[in-house]
Amino acid sequence: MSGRRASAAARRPGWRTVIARFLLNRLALSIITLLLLSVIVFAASQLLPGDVGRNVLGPFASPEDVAKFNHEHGVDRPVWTQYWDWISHFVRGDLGTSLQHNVPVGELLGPSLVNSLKLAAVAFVLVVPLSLLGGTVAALRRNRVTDRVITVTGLSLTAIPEFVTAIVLIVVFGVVLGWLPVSAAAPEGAGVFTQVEYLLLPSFALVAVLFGYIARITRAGVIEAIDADYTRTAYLKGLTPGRVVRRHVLRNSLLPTIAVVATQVGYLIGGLLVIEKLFNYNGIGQRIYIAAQAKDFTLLQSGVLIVGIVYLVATFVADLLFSLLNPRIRYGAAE
Amino acid sequence: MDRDEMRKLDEYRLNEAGPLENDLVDELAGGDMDRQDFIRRATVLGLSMSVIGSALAAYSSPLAFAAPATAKVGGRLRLGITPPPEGALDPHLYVNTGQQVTGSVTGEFLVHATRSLALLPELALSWKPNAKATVWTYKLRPGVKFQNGQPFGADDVVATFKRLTDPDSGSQALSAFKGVLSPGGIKKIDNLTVEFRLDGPNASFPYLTSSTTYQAILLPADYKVGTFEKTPQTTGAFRLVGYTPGVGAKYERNPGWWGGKASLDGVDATYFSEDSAIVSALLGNQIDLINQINVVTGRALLNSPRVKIFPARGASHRQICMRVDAKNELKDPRVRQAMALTLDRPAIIKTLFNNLSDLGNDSPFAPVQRATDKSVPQRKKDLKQAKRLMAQAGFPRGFKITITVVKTGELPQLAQILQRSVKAIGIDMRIVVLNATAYYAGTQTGPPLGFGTTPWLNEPMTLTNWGHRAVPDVLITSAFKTKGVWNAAHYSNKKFDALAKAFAGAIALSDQRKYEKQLQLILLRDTPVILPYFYNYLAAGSTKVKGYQAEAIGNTFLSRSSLA
Amino acid sequence: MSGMTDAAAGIEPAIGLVPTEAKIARREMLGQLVRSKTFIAGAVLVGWWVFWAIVGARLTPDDPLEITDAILIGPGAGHWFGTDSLGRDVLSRVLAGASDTMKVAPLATLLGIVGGTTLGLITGYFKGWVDEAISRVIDAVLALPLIVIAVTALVALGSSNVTLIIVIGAVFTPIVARTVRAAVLGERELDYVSAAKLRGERAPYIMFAEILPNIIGPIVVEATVRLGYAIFAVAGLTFLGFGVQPPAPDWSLQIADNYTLLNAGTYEWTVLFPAIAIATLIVGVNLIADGLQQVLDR
Repeated sequence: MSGRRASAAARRPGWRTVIARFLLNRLALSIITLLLLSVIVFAASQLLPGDVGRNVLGPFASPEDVAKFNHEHGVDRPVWTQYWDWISHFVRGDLGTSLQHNVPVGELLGPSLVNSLKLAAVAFVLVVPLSLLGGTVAALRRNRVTDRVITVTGLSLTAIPEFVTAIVLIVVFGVVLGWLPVSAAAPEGAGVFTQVEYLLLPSFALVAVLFGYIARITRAGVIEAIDADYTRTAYLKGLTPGRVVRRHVLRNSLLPTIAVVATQVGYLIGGLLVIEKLFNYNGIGQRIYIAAQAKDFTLLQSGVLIVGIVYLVATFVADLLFSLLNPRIRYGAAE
Repeated sequence: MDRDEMRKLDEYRLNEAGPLENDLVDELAGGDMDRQDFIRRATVLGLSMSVIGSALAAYSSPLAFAAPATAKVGGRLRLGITPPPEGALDPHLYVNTGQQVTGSVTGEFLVHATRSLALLPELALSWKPNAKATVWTYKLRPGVKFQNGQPFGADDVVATFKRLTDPDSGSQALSAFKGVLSPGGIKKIDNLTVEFRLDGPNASFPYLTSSTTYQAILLPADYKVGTFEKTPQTTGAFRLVGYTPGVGAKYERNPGWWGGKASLDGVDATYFSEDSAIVSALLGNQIDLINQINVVTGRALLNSPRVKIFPARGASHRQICMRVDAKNELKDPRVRQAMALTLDRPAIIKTLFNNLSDLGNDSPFAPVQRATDKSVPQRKKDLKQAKRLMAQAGFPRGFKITITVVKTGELPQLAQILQRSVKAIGIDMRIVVLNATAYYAGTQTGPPLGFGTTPWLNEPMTLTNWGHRAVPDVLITSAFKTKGVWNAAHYSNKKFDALAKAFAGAIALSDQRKYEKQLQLILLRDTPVILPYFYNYLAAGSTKVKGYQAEAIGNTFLSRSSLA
Repeated sequence: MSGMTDAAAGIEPAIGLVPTEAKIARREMLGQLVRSKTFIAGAVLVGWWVFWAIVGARLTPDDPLEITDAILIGPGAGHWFGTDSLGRDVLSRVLAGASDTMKVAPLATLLGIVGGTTLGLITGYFKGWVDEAISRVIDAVLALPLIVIAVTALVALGSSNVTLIIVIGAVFTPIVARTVRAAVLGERELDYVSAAKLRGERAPYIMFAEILPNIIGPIVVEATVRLGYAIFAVAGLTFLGFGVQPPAPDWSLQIADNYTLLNAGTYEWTVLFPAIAIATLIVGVNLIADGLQQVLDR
């Protein structure tokens, strides 16, 4: 008897293996996705008007100069050659040279990406606890005044385009009150605290946009958890409401929140074009936009691909956390 | 008349002055020239300040030079620059504002052009033409060192100008030097003397060695292209010690500067790609000076008590080009005149520039340029006449047309004002705004019409921005002469071409003005282009900034500036 | 044996006179909608803007395109919302500004819904490698934030309402496809689908005639949510310069033209009122979406 059960348990894969397999699967799919992404972006960038020579040299340069520039930068080669040249270097870590600025792409994208990550981090640190708190409180006081206030405020703030919120913040806190700097770029060599101070205004604008959405998801998750059987069991077992909320409810409401936040990472890293413009912040969104306008292929494609990688890594990590935290997956595999 | 001054002047005229210089003094004596013009013209010809002073004292009021106020030494100026430079920082390659401003903080020229386009010595002490203005002899300033320790001399001038005039170097100043100076025409006479042997007579040549030709920064003879941002090697008051593309640049005071000790310890420049960000930064006290603002985005600065505006009259303008060869209603000059007559120009410059602008009279001659004849009457709004012209042309009820606009500055707003104005004579105008890349994309020569495929030279009606130029010569040749490379209106008038040639060859100012007046009148009649204004170049800074003067060409010179 | 007694007895008379179950359910839903406060609030807001989108400049106090030299006057007697930098009345421009957004956003949403539903039906029904391949491509596109895709496409295609509709619709298609696919996956194992297969019906018939009517609920909800995002996207892209051209009184254009004036903390009326207009429209659409969701997603 025990022999049969033991060998059956030995043959069935443990939860660690299941997760490992799942992650490998995801890795393979991500690589295919990135490859497709690179092709799509390359094709799209071919459609852009103008050429980089004309953009850099300006409208009053002679056509011969423009042609010379284009030839020197290899943009008059066949499309396949350009693509292959770029991708074969990219996978080896060589991101190419910016056609516009004549420096290695990494030198330009590196600081931009770091900047975007810093802004995303500050916004993240502000918005997640705030939304969790807001969503939980709204769920606990479901359908009462507090709930409606939180939900409606969140909804309204989310609806307002971020450039409007950002402008109001700049005017009120930056110019009129003078409490916070209006540019997000701290002077060189500034310490951590100063850098964070400069990032507060744009972060507030981001919090305004994301709060309503994340709080709403949290609220739904908490409500579902409160209504669930295991919560009732916990109450019946005699646990205090506080412990119930902390131990059971929160952990389960975290799951959808993580999933939602992960989907916003792409936006937080590469989609903040308007915020970066308004705050004169050297983020990767701006870099990509300027590269698109100037038809700087190498910079544009490498930049877009980097954002894509960051996004996929974020969803990857989110899924990992999701599966680790979700008891059903952990224990279900071993059943 | 002061007899001493007269004597000094007579001595000069007898012993030193050539025929050109004497002509000039004659014109002043004859009352043909006002004081400003004389100073301008005289400095171009290389007359020394004392001679100018004598002449003016002899024939008009004495010259008063303002002595610089005592300036506070110390502090770093935080400069905001917009837009950021695109491309390398080698001076001969300068083609956009960011590059030019970055270079101008540290670089120096043979000759310095003032705001009123008078010329003052910088790295050259004097410049004299021969009788026909075909050879110009420059005497260089002694005792000047480059920031890398090397002494400055004739070899460096020759090398720099060879590069500027070399068709293979990628020099962006080629169009200015073409037909004027070739690489073989620059000769070293001795260590402090250089001769420029021109391809033909040119009375305005010194401008090409001045700060109005912003690529003409002097560099060592052994300068390696591509090293400008890596090693400080100009002669200026500030050394470029750090540069990050798209982010900023850092300058330190040059202790070995020939001009003495600059007041500022250094300059920290930050690049901004967005006007609103740079304006916020000034108001938020994160920077002290902005290289250039425009009224559209910087209106908040005009009313702020913390901010000082630095205006400079210039020749920057906008051209509303109407293709005269299009198969549409614009073919008829009466239609084009009618459209020009619907504009209320004083109201336009009040709305768009808060009056910080000169009026334009549909020709490229700016009031601030010395050759401009001011007796031609200014075109005014006249709806009755406009309607009459439209009826005569056969369009009493108007027609539809599209205007293509480049998205820069106040251009979209000017387009909207134009659209609204021509509605009064029945014209239904559609506006299409393109960003600069799309507007200037495509080829500029070749089929189908000889102007390639680019929108700005081929759309029936376009609205383009044109920067400041010290003299209108290049503009006339390229934008109005038959088959000019930038002739968006495809204008072709033999009489105009002949007069333009005569204008370029005229050396005496009165001759220049004579031809220029006729050119103005032709353009008023044909109206291939509506040119509503020449707006002031504007810089802005905090009230702490002292000793700064904005320049219409866009250079940012800080060697004599200080923070109060 | 009179028909009257039959009806009185509650026996079902001739077919067609008594509503089917589906009809009763629909009527019930409509009733619930009308009673839902969120739905009504949303409908009022949206209705207000639909009215102005249709009426346009005909009823505004001033001509929204009239340029005067009374520039940047604050809110007051003659101009309730003040004037902008070309002297135009802001109130008139805000009221007339609904047209372009109300033209582009619903059409873009429609395009996204139609495209996404078709794609979702195909991938959800067929599964297998067709599903895998298309899903990979969708993932690739969605790995980028909307703005990067849209900007690249619009820079290439030029700015106008038509290109906005195409680009936004194209970007929404994969998002809608995902939702529809999930719904289809839930339906395809059900009996009525197997029954249809056994009857010998072809795949397109099963997808569009059988499955589609049963997933209309989530599609309608998705459509209204997408509409909110479409308005948001139109606002953002027009702000960047990619949409309708001047001098149209579009709200985002007004903000883009005048936001630099805010730097001195003055002239805020030129930006504030268009912004509030955008906000009220999006909030209205979201309220309608919420109301529908409560009723349809039982």
